[in-house]
Amino acid sequence: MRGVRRRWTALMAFLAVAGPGIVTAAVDNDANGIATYATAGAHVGYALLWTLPLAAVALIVVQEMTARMGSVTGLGLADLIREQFGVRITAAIMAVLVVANWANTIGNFAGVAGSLEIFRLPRLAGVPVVAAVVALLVLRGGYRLIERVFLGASALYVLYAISAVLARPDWSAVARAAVVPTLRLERQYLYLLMALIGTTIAPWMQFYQQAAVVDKGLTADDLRLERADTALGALVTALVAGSIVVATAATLHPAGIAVTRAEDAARALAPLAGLYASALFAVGLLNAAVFSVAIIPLSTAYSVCEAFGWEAGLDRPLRQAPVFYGLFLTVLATSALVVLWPGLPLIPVMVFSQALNGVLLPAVLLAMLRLINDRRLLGEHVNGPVANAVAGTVTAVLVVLTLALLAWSL
Amino acid sequence: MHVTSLPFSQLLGRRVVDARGYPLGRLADLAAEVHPTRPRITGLLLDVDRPRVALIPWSAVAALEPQVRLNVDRAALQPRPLQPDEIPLREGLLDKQVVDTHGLRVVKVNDLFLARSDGDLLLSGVDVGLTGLLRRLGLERPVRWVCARLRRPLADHALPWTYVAALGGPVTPLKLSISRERLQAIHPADLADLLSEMDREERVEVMSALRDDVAAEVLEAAEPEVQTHILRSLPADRASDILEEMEPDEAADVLGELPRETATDLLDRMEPAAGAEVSRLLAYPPDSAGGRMTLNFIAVPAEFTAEQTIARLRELAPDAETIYYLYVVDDARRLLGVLSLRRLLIADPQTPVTRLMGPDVVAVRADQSDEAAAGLLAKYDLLAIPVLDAEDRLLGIITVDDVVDVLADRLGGRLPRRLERIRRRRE
Repeated sequence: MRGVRRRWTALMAFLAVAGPGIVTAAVDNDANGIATYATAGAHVGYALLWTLPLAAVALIVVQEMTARMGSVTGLGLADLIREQFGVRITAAIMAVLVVANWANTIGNFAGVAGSLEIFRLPRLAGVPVVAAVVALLVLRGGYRLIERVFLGASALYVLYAISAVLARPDWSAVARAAVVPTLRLERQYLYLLMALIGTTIAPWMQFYQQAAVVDKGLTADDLRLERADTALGALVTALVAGSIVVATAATLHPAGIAVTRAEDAARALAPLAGLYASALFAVGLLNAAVFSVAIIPLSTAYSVCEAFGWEAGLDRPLRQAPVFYGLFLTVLATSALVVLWPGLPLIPVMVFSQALNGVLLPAVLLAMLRLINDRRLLGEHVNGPVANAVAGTVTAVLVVLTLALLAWSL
Repeated sequence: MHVTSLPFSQLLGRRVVDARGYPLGRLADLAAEVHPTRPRITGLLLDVDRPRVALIPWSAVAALEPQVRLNVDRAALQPRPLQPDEIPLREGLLDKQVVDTHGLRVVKVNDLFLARSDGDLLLSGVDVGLTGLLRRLGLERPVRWVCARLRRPLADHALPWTYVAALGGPVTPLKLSISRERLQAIHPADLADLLSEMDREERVEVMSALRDDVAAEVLEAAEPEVQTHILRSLPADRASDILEEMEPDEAADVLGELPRETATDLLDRMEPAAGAEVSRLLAYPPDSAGGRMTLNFIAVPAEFTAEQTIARLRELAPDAETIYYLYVVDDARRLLGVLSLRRLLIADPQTPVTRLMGPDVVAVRADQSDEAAAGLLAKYDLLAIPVLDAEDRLLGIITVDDVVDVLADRLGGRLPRRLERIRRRRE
């Protein structure tokens, strides 16, 4: 194929076949997501299951908003924020995005370390090697290779669904837990709730999907297809998340196993894979983690450069796009370094990164709500009352949770 | 003349008071009259008014420091709506993308510089550098201080207004004639590169600013993704006008990338003759010799003499892709031989072309790959190679130009995005 795409070059290459919504959703279930769902299932059983259908609805609403903005205006989210809000607010939101993505990348490197430890490989050797290989592959144009391997290996998520069935959970309890909300005013419970929302709806996803929509050249005429694509992606995310929660809740929770290491979470696959559960889990976790440590730093660099008008793209020489490459490599390298810290508890770090996503998400949601209700930008495609109510509720819930958790910590 | 440049961002948000010091509001925007060299500030807009309707004329401004003071009483103010030839600086320029027509880049406007000149305030330049960003974050001074200590003084990066082509965004499309002129001064190949960095509305604005033939050249040089985006975003009539002006083989390549209905619709809108040529080419896969060939070649009947052939050449040369090779065909358009321009010119005028031509012709079939064509061109050092159907009928030719991109791409080393070139500019 001849040619390069515009700003989000290569990152978007495979969107030619897959819809932006489905791809975003596939990346959404990264190593941090797996860790968070597994921890939730192991620690509180089915008690948090009810959040997943709600989170799926919220995810559909938020991602549909971003897809609509992209197709109607033809601009990326970072571009829109900059053009409408000016430098100061843009800088603040970009700071939020960089912090959240940094935490995500650190979490995913923890996932790399965790899966390596299952194979008895020391993280001090493994993590730098993975970081170097990812950097080389991305910079040398092997990005598509990573993508294909990742998307293919995403099918491994089906294993959780099978394992969940084989674990013979009490299906009536599962159904009840999925529909009837139970709220426990305990710190641990609220913390996991925050992490669950944060991992399902992460700040980078809006920037990523909107850029994908713009780069694919979708217009307001394509909205119906794009909505279906977004909904399908969110449903897949929720199903995978539900399977992991059910599998861990049925196997680990009754045994009272707290997930602190990747090996603990791996036992949830035992009903399916028996002795090979650990190896299988490690491969799935490594796959999700490696792809995310490639895509999230890259997406960070693209968003920040888009916002400030710096040149970006893997097709440019280093001299032309120093900030782009600088950001990508800095996020990648420093995240890997953090994980090298001896004795760093891996699974808790991953869950924490997702809770942090939840804390930071309202900043992005508020900006999006301002933009999407602007008639000059979207004309007849401004938000309806339902979308505003859902997005507003998510924002409010996250702010309240943040305050509650802060109060608890003090 | 004393020129001090004043950053626009420092004026925004300043209090505006009338002649008696009564506060009217804060400065929300300035309007400038569009002029190629002297874009004069014509008035100011307040944050308390609706945008674009209540412009306070610049003649009413007495001072800018430390706050904006008017020379009239608020009762005597006569605000007027914004005129079509005025642009609101904040709404239309600040934080938007503009084309640096000199450096051939698309850049974001971080700040604007204003300068006093003969009693007027002029828009003098556009800050596209880091200093503009820092200034708006309130960090310019500390960072300058630190950089000065490190002996790496912070460099300003400002473009003079005369280099800037502003397009505006989806909210404030500017449609400035000055921008159009400035864009037309850019070489189509460079403009094509710039398009890949623009947003949808900006691309439409640029393409609308160009004449059909120039737009066609730009589109031919653009990346495939950009080509399809543009054809889908432009009004269909305009898109088909541009396609008519393109080389038929290029037009066919672009149409081949579009969804079937869109392509058919555009083909139907094209002039019948041009549309038919493109349709014929579309029948071949894009990476086959047939998909790559051009139809603008010179064929001569076998009965012709050298003299007649030269007359035919005069007629056809303006449109032909190459005139160095002439193809001799029989009544059924079967290729008999190839004649070089050199042989033709030095031959006796009465010689039949069949005696001048070399009958041993290197050719490709339309269904062979374009790489095969490229290979033959390279192997036999040819400038063009004829493309034949299964019955040896001449369909078109592939020139070296047509396959240079093929080779460059498949060899892996794409051409660098921004090639340094020596520019001759019309100022």
